[in-house]
Amino acid sequence: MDIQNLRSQIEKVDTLPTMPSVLKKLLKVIENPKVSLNEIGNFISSDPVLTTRVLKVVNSPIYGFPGRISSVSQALILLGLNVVRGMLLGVSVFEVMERAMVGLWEHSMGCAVTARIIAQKKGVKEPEEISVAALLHDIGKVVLSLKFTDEYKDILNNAEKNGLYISEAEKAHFSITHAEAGAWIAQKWNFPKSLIEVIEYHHKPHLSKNIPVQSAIVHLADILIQARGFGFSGNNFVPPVHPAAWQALNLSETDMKEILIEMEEVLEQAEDFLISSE
Amino acid sequence: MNRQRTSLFRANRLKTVVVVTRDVVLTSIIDRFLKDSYSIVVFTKIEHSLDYIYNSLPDLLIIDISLDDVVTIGIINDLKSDPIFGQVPVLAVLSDDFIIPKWDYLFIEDYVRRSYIETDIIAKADLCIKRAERVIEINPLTRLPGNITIIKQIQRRLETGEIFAIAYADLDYFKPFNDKYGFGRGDEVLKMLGRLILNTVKHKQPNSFVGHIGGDDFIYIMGPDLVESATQEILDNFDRIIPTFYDAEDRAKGNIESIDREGIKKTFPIMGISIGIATNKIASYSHYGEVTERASEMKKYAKYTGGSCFRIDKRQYASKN
Amino acid sequence: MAKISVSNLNPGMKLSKPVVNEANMILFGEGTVLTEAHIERLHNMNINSVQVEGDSKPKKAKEEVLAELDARFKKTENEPYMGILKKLFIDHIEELYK
Repeated sequence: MDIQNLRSQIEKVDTLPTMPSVLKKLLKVIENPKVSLNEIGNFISSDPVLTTRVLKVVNSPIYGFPGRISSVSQALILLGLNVVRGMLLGVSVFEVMERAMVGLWEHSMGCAVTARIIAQKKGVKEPEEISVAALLHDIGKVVLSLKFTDEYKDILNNAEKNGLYISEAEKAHFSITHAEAGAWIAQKWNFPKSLIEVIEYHHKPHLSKNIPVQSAIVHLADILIQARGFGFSGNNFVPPVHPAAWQALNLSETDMKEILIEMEEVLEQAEDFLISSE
Repeated sequence: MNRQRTSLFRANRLKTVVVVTRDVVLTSIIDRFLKDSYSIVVFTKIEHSLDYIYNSLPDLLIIDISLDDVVTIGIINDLKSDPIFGQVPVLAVLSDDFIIPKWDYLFIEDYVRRSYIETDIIAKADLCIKRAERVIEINPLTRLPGNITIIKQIQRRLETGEIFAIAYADLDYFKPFNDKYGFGRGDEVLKMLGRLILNTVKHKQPNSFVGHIGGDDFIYIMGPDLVESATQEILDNFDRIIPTFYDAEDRAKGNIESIDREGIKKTFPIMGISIGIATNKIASYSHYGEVTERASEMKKYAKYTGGSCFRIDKRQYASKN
Repeated sequence: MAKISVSNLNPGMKLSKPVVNEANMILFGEGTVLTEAHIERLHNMNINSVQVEGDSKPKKAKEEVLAELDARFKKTENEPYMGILKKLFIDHIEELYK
């Protein structure tokens, strides 16, 4: 399939499904008439698909300020509780919940918390923005596996069998990777430019012209979470960190040690949240 | 980038009608009669249609309702209370034994009886859409009610003796923003502000009122006990969100630069919001003009202080009328 | 479900049964996620052990974790900075299991 065709196929994706356990929890959360925007926000911020949904609506031209909002909490304030509830009522689930998908959720969530920790260490303003970018960095994988289910399964198998990185296997099949697919859909849905850029360059942070630090942070977070073995990104091997990103972040050994410790604490709590389905 | 081309100019395209019903026969009847004039999208449950509605703003919603379906009625009412999505007219299909409720409980534009579907559906659908297209006095940017409604709201409360607070809000340094970034981006800020005020106020107190006088002037009316915390929330949320409307360099500097008519360079800080509040809790008013004047005075005071802030009138006042 | 001595508690563990005092008043409810402060209080109250939600999968043995780490890094351990990263993780894991 040629790139133009592929792109228009991907841009046709209207809505993404999430995991059954997330949906179950979600229904409980929104059923409660006393639930606060804050609580809903925390829940949404932990799931890449729900986050995408909210950002897509708030950045839609219908509201009139596309490409401005990348924070879930801000989005909820602008949408209002009723719209948010209504929007979440229509969430669908992946019919066949592959182990790979569950792994991807954990990986995305883990990446988000790790990126936030690094951002706070570096004193970056707006750690929430980076956290969202990290949460959504692999959204292209969800899109590709939704649109080309069987082919994506083959790609995953290929990567496993031949010791390839998932990006290599994707490129061999589609001639693009999940980074491009994710960036295309983010652009279609009017996400803020900075978000699109991180999604597009999280594997090649040196190409991120406008927000090199944010891209470097998400890039590093992606690698750290894979190194720790939390979740499943599709890779059986940890990809190498880009030297420019490592140097740009300039984290000391002490910084790194502290980051790993903080990661550990947060990830333990995150695991309970993800896996328990009551 | 082609973002702005997803325009809301709709004259040349087929209008969309969303139909929500589980009744297959009803679906086929509606489809048969309306498909030549409209693009029909069918859902079996209202929850499923919401996603579509929130993303594409259809021209009409036709929904099959039974009186005991409290959940569906609740969802419709919620939809209708949003300024943007509330503009979508709702035409209900009622079974012949459906007892008409008080319209306070069901926010629809019109209804058609099940047994009259074939004779009336085209006329009713056309009428609903035409009615929605007539200009009601709402601000085109924010879809919030304008002056006439605002005055009525204040006057009504004064007449019934309700104790209320009225807040008058506008932006500081809005003009330099428009000058530098253009009116298009200025409009984005206003749309955002409208939603921000509406959601914050309504969340605090569902039976409050939010209006848009014009430009960057907004008004909201709510109980005096909740108005200060609501106002503080608006200020805080505005300060958090507004930087994203500036370009990165200006955002980092915290100001924008421009050259005035004399060629002198001036810097203006990032926009803030000033809010003045008046209430009849301790004062007594008999004319809407007195109330708005007080609130306006308070707003002027608020403007003297830099940054976003509000001032509330604590003086006693007796109406001269 | 595991009965754990209070001296072995870690923050983040979740109570699977409420903690009551001698008068059978509930001090901490079921489902409480324990913080440092909670744990200190438990110490001070002379409570010996509490029931916490254990992982339904038992915690992995250190050797297994290290072996998996090693396998993951096989492809890139010679790339710039990856050696440093790997060492950081090994040290980190050793610390965890102390």
